[in-house]
Amino acid sequence: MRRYRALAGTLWCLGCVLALSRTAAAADTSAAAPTLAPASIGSKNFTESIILADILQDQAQRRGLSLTHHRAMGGSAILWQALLNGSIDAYPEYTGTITQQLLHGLPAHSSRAQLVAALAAHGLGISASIGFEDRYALAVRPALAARLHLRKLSDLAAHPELHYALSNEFMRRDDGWPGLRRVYRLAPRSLQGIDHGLAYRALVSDAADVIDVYTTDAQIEQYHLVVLRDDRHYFPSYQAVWLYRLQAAARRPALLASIDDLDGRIDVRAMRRMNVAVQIQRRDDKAVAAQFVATLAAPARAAAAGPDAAAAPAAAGAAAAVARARPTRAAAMRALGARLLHLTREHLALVGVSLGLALLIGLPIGIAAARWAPLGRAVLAVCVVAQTVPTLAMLVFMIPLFGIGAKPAIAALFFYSLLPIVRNTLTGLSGIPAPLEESAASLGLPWHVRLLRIELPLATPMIIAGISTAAVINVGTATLGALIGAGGYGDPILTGIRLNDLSLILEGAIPAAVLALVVMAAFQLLERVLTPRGLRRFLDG
Amino acid sequence: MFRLEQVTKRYGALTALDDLSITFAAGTVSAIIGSSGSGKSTLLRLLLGLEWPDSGQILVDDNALARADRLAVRRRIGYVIQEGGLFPHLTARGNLALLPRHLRWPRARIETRARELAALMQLPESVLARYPAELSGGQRQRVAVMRALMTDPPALLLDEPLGALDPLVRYELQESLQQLFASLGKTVLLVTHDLPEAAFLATRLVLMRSGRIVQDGHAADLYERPADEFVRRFVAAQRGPPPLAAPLTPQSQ
Repeated sequence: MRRYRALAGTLWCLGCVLALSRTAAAADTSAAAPTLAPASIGSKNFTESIILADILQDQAQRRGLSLTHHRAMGGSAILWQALLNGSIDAYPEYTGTITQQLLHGLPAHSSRAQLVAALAAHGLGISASIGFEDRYALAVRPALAARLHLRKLSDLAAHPELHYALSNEFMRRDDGWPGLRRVYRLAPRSLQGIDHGLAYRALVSDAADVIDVYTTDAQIEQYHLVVLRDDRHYFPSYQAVWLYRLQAAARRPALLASIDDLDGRIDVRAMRRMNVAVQIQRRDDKAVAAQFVATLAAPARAAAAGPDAAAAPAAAGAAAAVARARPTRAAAMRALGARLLHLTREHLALVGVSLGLALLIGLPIGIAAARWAPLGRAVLAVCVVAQTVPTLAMLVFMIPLFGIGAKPAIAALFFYSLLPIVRNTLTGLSGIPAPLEESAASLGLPWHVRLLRIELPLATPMIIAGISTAAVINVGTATLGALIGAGGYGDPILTGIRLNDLSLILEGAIPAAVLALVVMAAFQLLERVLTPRGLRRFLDG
Repeated sequence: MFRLEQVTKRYGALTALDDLSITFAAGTVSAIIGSSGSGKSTLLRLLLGLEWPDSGQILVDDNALARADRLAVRRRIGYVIQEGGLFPHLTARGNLALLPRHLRWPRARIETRARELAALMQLPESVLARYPAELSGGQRQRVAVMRALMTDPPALLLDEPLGALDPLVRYELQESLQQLFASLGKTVLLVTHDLPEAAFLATRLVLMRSGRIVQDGHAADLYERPADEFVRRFVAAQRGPPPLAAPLTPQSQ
């Protein structure tokens, strides 16, 4: 009985975590939405996209419109889904990506009118060019370029021995590697998929010879890389533009006006400089964006700038403060502690809520599956299928249903947690020795009493092992939630990869590993507490 | 108390009970004997509603057994099986308390009854606090009998209760059970394949083979007036001490 109460207590605690996070979420929205839901914008998981969104956010602020910026949400697919689904109202995109990836069936060199019409069919609008182009290109180390006389893409065909490390997205895109190798007749002997953030490291450490780059990438300047000329004009145009929801633009004129403010205002040099400032000089992207918006406002809109006049020095001050800030060691440790606490809270909320839900749903399913064998087999099959869905795909599936942020991540983690819990509950209950089953039945106790007093306690070690497995998988997988704005330890990991900052990566990776170990130890302890001495001795021999 | 009327039970191709009709009167002690697979355990399981007959009917206190009242019937029957019948996650006391607690007995009443039965089964009270894995085989079976008797049911069914015990422990427990059956006056059905044990504990012996009753009577009938060649062989198969002594144990009535 005591054991059973302890198990009930555990469930109760999980329920509390669930309830707490619910109320927290509710408080969030009620506080932020007195009238209209706040407008929000998103950015992809790389510096330029984040800076652009920061700039739009700043510019809108000057026009009195407060925008929520969902930072570094992932790749085009995730942002596109979030925009269609209304989770965000605008994000920076590139025309080539729109024609090649997002709107299939549009010619690669579509006219602007064609783009506008095709997007309008989805309820979306497109701005004029922000002023620069960020297209794909291939880059090599300067020494290698000099040695092999590499200047243009067609020079590569003569060197199949070079080692290519291409970003996973580039390898798969219609306008990426598949077409490129055809047009330039490239047949490298060694070709490897790699995260774009890691590609430069691979290149400068000689682990790769050719990588794909974006023409505005800061590292091109940092490492003096040679960008090979597209002499057969393969890559389509990649003008930076804003994609926005027509509905949101109509409801909030200030959003559209802020987007228009940026038309043609950022040229490729300005963009690359800002990328260098954030990625190489490690300046805060918000400060860099604020500084740019200040210069933008000063000459062009001096006449119209009532509030701007006050805001510009403020922004400059903020940038200066960031530049000046050389925090003491103690202050840095305190800041790190505060960051870790915040991340841990976010991560625990993701894990706790999804695991709690999986328990509430998975335990009854496991019990039902143990009672009716055909149902058991069907349920297990579904869980196994859910387990095989790649995490990124799962996250993309969840966006239309749950929007962005913690909810879709929790839903995805819930599905991953289900299999171990259901399977172990089923195995634990159906593995009870036949003589015990028979004794239980012959006592004359109704089935629910048998389940609670006899069968579940006997299956407890097995069930807890299942929950423990689910929890450990969950802690690891939750780091990917950062791709869709769910926060947690994945945040510093993704940012670290983007900024090529190992210490930032470790800031997320080490706590995640520690948390996984702590969770495992906690469940081992729980198993010991919940398994009576008699059952342990019975199981041991 | 129990009556089977033309009961047949099959498991696939195997016929466990073949058109069996038999009555067990209230307050009698009967032993069902036979080789493995003769259908003797199936008979007990049918009485408890753990299995259902393919044809025929089972009456408990003159009422036909129906699925709706099997829980009520099981509470009127104490059931002890050979091994593994105690729940390993509960102490002896916890095992004893399972049904009474569900019936909302007060804690004190459960404790009083447990001590009473411990005295009856010659177990020290300290045993009650131990888990089954911490008890000897003999102690485990004594606790199992106690659990079956907790709510003082009118009937007691035992399926090879002593089958897994070593000879000395078995000998002692046979004595305890004999005294128990004599003092409680319950309807007892004991399944065993040990003829001397059956003769020692029961007044009525029912010998089964292939789901049918071969002979039904006193021990003396089986030894002196075997119904057929099988009974003769079954009796002869019980080995006595060399040189061959009287087939009955010294304690027989």
